[in-house]
Amino acid sequence: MEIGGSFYDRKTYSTCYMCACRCGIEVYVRNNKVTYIKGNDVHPTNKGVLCAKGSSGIMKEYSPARLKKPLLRVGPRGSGEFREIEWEEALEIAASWIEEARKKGPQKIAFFTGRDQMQQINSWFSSQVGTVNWAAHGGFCSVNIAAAGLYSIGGSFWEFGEADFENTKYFMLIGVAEDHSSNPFKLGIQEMKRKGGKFVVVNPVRWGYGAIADEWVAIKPGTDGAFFMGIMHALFKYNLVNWEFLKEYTNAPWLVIEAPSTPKDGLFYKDSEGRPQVFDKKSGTFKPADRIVPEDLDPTFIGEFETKEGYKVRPAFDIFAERLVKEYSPEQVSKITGIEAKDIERIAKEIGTIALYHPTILPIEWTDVWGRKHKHTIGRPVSFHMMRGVASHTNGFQSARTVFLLMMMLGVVDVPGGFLNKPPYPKHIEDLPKPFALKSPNQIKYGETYPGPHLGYIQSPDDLLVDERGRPVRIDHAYSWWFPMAAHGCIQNVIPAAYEQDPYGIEVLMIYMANMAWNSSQNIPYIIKALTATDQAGNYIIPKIITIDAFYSEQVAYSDLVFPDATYLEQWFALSLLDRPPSAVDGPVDAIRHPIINPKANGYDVKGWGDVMVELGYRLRLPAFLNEDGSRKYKDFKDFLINWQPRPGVGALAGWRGKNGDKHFIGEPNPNQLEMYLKNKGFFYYKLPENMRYYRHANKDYQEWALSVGFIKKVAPMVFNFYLEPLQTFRLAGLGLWEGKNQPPNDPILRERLIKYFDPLPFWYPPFEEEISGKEYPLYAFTQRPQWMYHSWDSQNVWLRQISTRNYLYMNPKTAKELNIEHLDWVIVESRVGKVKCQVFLTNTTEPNSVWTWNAIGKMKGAWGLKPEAEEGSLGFLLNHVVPHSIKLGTKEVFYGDPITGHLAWFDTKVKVYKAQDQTPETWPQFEVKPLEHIKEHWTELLRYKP
Amino acid sequence: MQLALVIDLNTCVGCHACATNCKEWNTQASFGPLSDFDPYGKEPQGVWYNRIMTYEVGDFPHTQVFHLPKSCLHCQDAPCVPVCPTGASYKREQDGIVLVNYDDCIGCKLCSWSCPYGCREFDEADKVMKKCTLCIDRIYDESLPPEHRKPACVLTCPAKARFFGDIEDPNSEVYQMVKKRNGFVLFSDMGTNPANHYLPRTETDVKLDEHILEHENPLFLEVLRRHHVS
Amino acid sequence: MHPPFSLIWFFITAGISIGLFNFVYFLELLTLFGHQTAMPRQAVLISLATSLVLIALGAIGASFHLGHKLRAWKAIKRFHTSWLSREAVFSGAYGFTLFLYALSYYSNQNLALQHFLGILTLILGWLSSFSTAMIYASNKFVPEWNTSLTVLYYLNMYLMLGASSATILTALFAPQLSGEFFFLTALFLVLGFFFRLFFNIRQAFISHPTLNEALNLAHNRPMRVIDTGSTTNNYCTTEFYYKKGKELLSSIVPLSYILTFLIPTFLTLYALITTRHELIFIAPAFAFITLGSFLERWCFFVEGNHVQNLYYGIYPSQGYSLRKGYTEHKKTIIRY
Ligand SMILES: Nc1nc2c(c(=O)[nH]1)N[C@H]1C(S)=C(S)[C@@H](COP(=O)(O)OP(=O)(O)OC[C@H]3O[C@@H](n4cnc5c(=O)[nH]c(N)nc54)[C@H](O)[C@@H]3O)O[C@H]1N2
Ligand SMILES: Nc1nc2c(c(=O)[nH]1)N[C@H]1C(S)=C(S)[C@@H](COP(=O)(O)OP(=O)(O)OC[C@H]3O[C@@H](n4cnc5c(=O)[nH]c(N)nc54)[C@H](O)[C@@H]3O)O[C@H]1N2
Ligand code: SF4
Ligand code: SF4
Ligand code: SF4
Ligand code: SF4
Ligand code: SF4
Ligand SMILES: [Mo]
Repeated sequence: MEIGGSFYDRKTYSTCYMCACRCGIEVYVRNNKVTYIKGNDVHPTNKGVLCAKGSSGIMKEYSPARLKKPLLRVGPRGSGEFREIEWEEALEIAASWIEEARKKGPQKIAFFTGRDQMQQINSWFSSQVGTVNWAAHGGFCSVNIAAAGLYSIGGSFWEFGEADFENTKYFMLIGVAEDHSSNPFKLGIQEMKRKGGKFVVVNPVRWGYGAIADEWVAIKPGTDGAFFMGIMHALFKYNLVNWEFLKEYTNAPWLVIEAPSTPKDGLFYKDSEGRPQVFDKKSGTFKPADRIVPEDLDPTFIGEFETKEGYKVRPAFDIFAERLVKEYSPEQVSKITGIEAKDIERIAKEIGTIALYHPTILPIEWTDVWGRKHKHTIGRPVSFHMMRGVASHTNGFQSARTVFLLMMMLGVVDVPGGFLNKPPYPKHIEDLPKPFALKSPNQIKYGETYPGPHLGYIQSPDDLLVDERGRPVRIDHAYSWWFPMAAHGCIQNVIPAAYEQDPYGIEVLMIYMANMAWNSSQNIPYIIKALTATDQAGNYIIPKIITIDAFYSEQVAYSDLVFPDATYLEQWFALSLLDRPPSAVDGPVDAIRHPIINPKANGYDVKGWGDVMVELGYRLRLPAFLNEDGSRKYKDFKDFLINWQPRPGVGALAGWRGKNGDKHFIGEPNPNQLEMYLKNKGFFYYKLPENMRYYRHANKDYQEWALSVGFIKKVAPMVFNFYLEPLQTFRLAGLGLWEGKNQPPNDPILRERLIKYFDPLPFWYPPFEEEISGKEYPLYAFTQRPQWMYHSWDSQNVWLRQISTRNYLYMNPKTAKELNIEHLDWVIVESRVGKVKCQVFLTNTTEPNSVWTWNAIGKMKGAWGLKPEAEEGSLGFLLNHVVPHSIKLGTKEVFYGDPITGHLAWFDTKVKVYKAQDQTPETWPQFEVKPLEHIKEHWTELLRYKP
Repeated sequence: MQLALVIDLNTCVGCHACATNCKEWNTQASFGPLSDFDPYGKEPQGVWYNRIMTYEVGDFPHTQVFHLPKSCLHCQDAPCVPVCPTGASYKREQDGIVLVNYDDCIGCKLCSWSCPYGCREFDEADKVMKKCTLCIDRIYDESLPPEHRKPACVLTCPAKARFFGDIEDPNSEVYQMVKKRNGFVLFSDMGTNPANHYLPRTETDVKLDEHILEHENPLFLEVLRRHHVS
Repeated sequence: MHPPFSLIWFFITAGISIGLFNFVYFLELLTLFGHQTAMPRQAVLISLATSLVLIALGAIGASFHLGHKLRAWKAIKRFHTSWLSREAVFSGAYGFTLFLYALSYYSNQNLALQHFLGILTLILGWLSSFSTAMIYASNKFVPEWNTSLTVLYYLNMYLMLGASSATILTALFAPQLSGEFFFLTALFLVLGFFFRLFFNIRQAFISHPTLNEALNLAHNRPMRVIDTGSTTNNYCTTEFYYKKGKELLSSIVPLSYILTFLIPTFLTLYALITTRHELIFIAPAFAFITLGSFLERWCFFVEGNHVQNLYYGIYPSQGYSLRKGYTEHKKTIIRY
């Protein structure tokens, strides 16, 4: 036999999209078929490595689940009966549906996008259509962490920032199984471990990353907030606080007015010019906070003062300290979290001493925004990353805030060894965009464009999107009184709200890249009812559903019109700085994808959503898609990427702008820009000089540069919100003391909610479900991401599904013993909203209050190109069936979510587990759709892929 | 010379990247394809050269977990070689790689019976025995840039847990790692003398310098006092 | 281990072929020493034909175990190391010399040649059976097989199959010998029974390796498999482990004892005691032996636990042994 020989006739570079991590790839092709995909060695995100999903990209390309042609539903919704239609017909139908709906009011069109990587463009497209109802997936995913971060430090994790793995000596991973960014994490953790750093995992489950943890903190679900308050208690007790950092960069020393029952209560004490004040110990007087550095003030952190106006004022830190001392001693916290008090103390001491007494000092000079020159860059080598274990609870926002406060107390924000931002972050918190505050759903008329951003960071009740009676303006209830700081929108509420016509019914629901009929919604039997319910005349209550998907997902099966998307190897795409780019901590990065494979040649009549959007925009005669003379402005999406400019000089891609490609960030469109990206291996990386890499919240050179490229709006210190004053404005509103124009409806439950949860300083409260489900449903049930699969979309992947065709319910043997459950028994998992039958797997890796399973492995039979007898449909199960989608508050059913951001609290779900009477090895419930005809043709008995 | 993989259990997170990248490389390269049976059905079953398993040790809360990527260990005293009746299963003199010559293999499966590690998989479609080749079609391929002449699984491992080299050469990275980190082999007493080694987990502890801790932060005491907390 | 039908088939066919030839030719050989033991020519010819056909059928059947039958000849290449190769060579050579012997016997060639070929065939037959047995017995990774009992038992089984089939011949053609042959059959049956019993008893005493040993990690605490990297089966879990078989084993083992040993022993002993050395006893006895051996071989495979199963958590569990492992108390203390 012969060994060796060439395996490709073409090699090119692109960006992976087996998940949202945006790794660079080298793609090898022979005869229009991909032979091999390798990580791009020089790409800053993955540095040549690829994860399990990335390496299986080929099998996505040739999956039988792929859609071939546009589909029009012919049977009832959910039957899986479709007719293949031509693109012309599909576009005409879509255009006419959208046009009709627009005439009834643009808000009647709801466009929601899931694993979206072109949010800015999709939001902009929705604006062109005129609808307020656009959002991406953050509402069920990350908004608690994202919002807590942006409101606290003007940045957050993932695309916003990450641990400085190169220098950190202590890394704590909180509530994470995999997360983005998959590869950089693994690269980073091994690097820090090899350098002798300590890796701590805070998680009810020890698996995946937990295997290599130096310490496992087996926390009881939903109690992270308490744990970190306990840590901060100990830090304060042993004076392991970075006072310098708090003083210079945060509002911890700012004075807060304590004047209960007045509209000033809980707001910062300001002078006549509106400048917040501190109490300067040196001079013994009140001084404006912005003079702390210039005048070298010594603000007090602890104490109580009276102002000349007669207010009692206290530094924000003082209020927080009182809380720490009274309520969060390690002993108190231990009772909540199940973690021993001595461990809490020890961990606090470990991180405190490393951060404060063992700094990383880099010989890098830098200048701060006040003009002070620093000879060295001082780092604090302790870092954190948290995600859905914290986020997916109804106390997620406040719990996430505890971690950001901890980071401030240690001074580990944007410093070597700590957390580092990735440009274009950090941003001045007060300059973060706000959603355009529409005052009534039908304010925008047919033909008008939506005037501002859909999403953003509101600062007070006056920024809400509510009508004069306080009802939500958006279909998803985002920015309503119930979910005021819903920075990412609330995609999870769309289907229930549209079904219940609360606040109004819609005409066309468009879903791009989200499996809302299945693994991305809660209480699936209810969701299916919502999708298929009809009115008396027999019309669907949600009249038209258009889905843009690449595969035969459950969502597709419940749609009326389906646009088959091209895969990531088949279309032009920009991973844009306007969006959530693949930036590195050392500088901004953006990247492209491009058509490497011609789908037509392989029998797929598909189009990238970008091309479809440009086409629809033109057909709908949306102004931005037309030249002045009414002719078509963009030929296709490639043309769009090159020439679209949301602001003059700024486009989808920042590299090689200007006619000749000699300008970066700002410059006219460059007709050869995409080719230049290709020549540079598919990405643009603007590495910042060393003196601009740290302390960017106060780094003069960085900020001047960032201002020049439009990342920020001014050169000024970014003050971190130790005390988050905007929350207090909602509290005041709840108390009837808010003096602005928006007032909450007179609903005592709502008002109490505002008063209780909108605390400007973080605190811990039990997840909502604790009270409702209480002892009757004693266990927390949640999911984890399998490292080898991405939500539902990798289930069709022949290689990945060989790793897991099914899932189990993992449980601690002690818990099982109490419940008389044995290894591999079939059990019922019951929550207050539903039941699931599944098989138990006992393991000591799981804390006794928890049961869990892998996410999104269970499938509807017949979907995803799998044969109906595939195990995914009968042994695999979805935990979502038992996740509540609403909660009864008084007489009102309110969507279940974090009271501040609306974040869907997946992991709040409480259940009881008992042995099933019927031990037949099958899960329950099961659902079924008909497979598409062309899919059956692909059901080969033997797959031998060798192009 | 004995080429081998060294796998660091102290950084392996069990992500399966090495397994799928191995499958991806090998299915199209000299020793492929690696057949997949019933790929979309009830019992998908394919040929893999590398699989990842996960084990737990001890009882809660003192549980340890580790992942074990397992591919052919290219044993120095490979028991799978002498039992092969045709010589299709052989160990290369020059670099110690254990290979199967598909042209000679009669598919008797005896070699797989003689591997205590379960590292050979029979391809029912080709009717020959298959196994990890140490990516012999990469490591000697001069058309690849030198930095790419490594096994696919090594290049792709996001946790950099996989190392490749000559386990007999005292100057090699792998040799030194095994020495320094107390590398070990699977089933050490089976007389197989595996070439692939694993590096054990080690636990990092922080030694607290208690002396720098202020036992009574005056501010803390002040807050206690002011709020009458005992 | 998953029982391969083709190999069980080969065991039975080769067993009868070689065993039968062994006895029939042995009788021929004795004539050299002046004993009037030879069977009638017709009987010898029938037995040679049977042996030839069976070894051929065995070879054909065994080739179904091979992925590439046409390349089977290549199996001779590793004679010096591989018991399988030796088996192939010896059994092939046995078949060939058997054929030559049959030819020389049939054409009444000179006796020297006849006996030269006969002895050769006899030796090759034994070498072939020994090699086959060694394939299993030499496999260190299936501790149930890895014992000289496997070989002894194997050879005895051949003798048992041979003696019982030869008894049929004697009952038909040489009644004067059938008494001895009934005795021989009974003898090998009893021996076989005890070998098998020891084989089974031994299984209870084998110290199986543990997962801790397989992983060579943490010998002081229990280890459990929590994920095998695939939720469906793969080659390793089907070839080395037969779930159905394991479940059936407890009923098949006694059945195979009854069929292989108990009933035939009873029949032969009854014939011996009553001195009715008749076909009516040996024919059913032979049928039971053959059928029983099929089941017995099936059990032999299913009983075999391959150590690779440890990695999948499908190996008889033995707890863990207290030994020094690699992960205990290996701590890096970092001081800052
Ligand atoms: N129980 C439970 N449920 C959860 C979670 C949980 O932790 N537990 N996590 C939640 C979270 S954080 C998230 S982000 C969601 C994610 O869930 P989703 O955003 O729904 O992700 P997928 O299930 O992958 O579905 C994405 C859809 O995109 C389609 N798709 C794949 N590739 C392409 C393509 O190239 N083009 C187009 N147009 N479509 C494509 C797929 O076919 C699929 O229908 O799940 C949520 N659901
Ligand atoms: N391979 C792969 N990678 C992915 C994805 C994928 O589907 N597959 N999805 C991507 C997406 S959309 C997202 S949002 C991210 C999410 O990435 P992760 O944040 O890693 O999300 P989960 O897998 O839900 O992990 C939640 C973790 O929290 C733990 N946990 C549960 N409750 C608690 C708690 O109360 N406290 C603490 N401390 N921990 C708790 C669980 O055990 C689990 O380990 O991953 C992204 N990356
Ligand atoms: S993490 Fe994996 S799937 Fe995600 S982009 Fe990177 S290589 Fe692709
Ligand atoms: S790729 Fe690396 S980290 Fe992932 S399973 Fe393989 S060896 Fe472990
Ligand atoms: S691991 Fe198995 S297949 Fe590889 S050389 Fe050793 S015995 Fe042979
Ligand atoms: S299966 Fe092939 S390689 Fe293995 S022993 Fe038989 S002939 Fe040799
Ligand atoms: S060395 Fe090559 S063949 Fe072997 S496991 Fe790694 S990638 Fe697979
Ligand atoms: Mo997500």
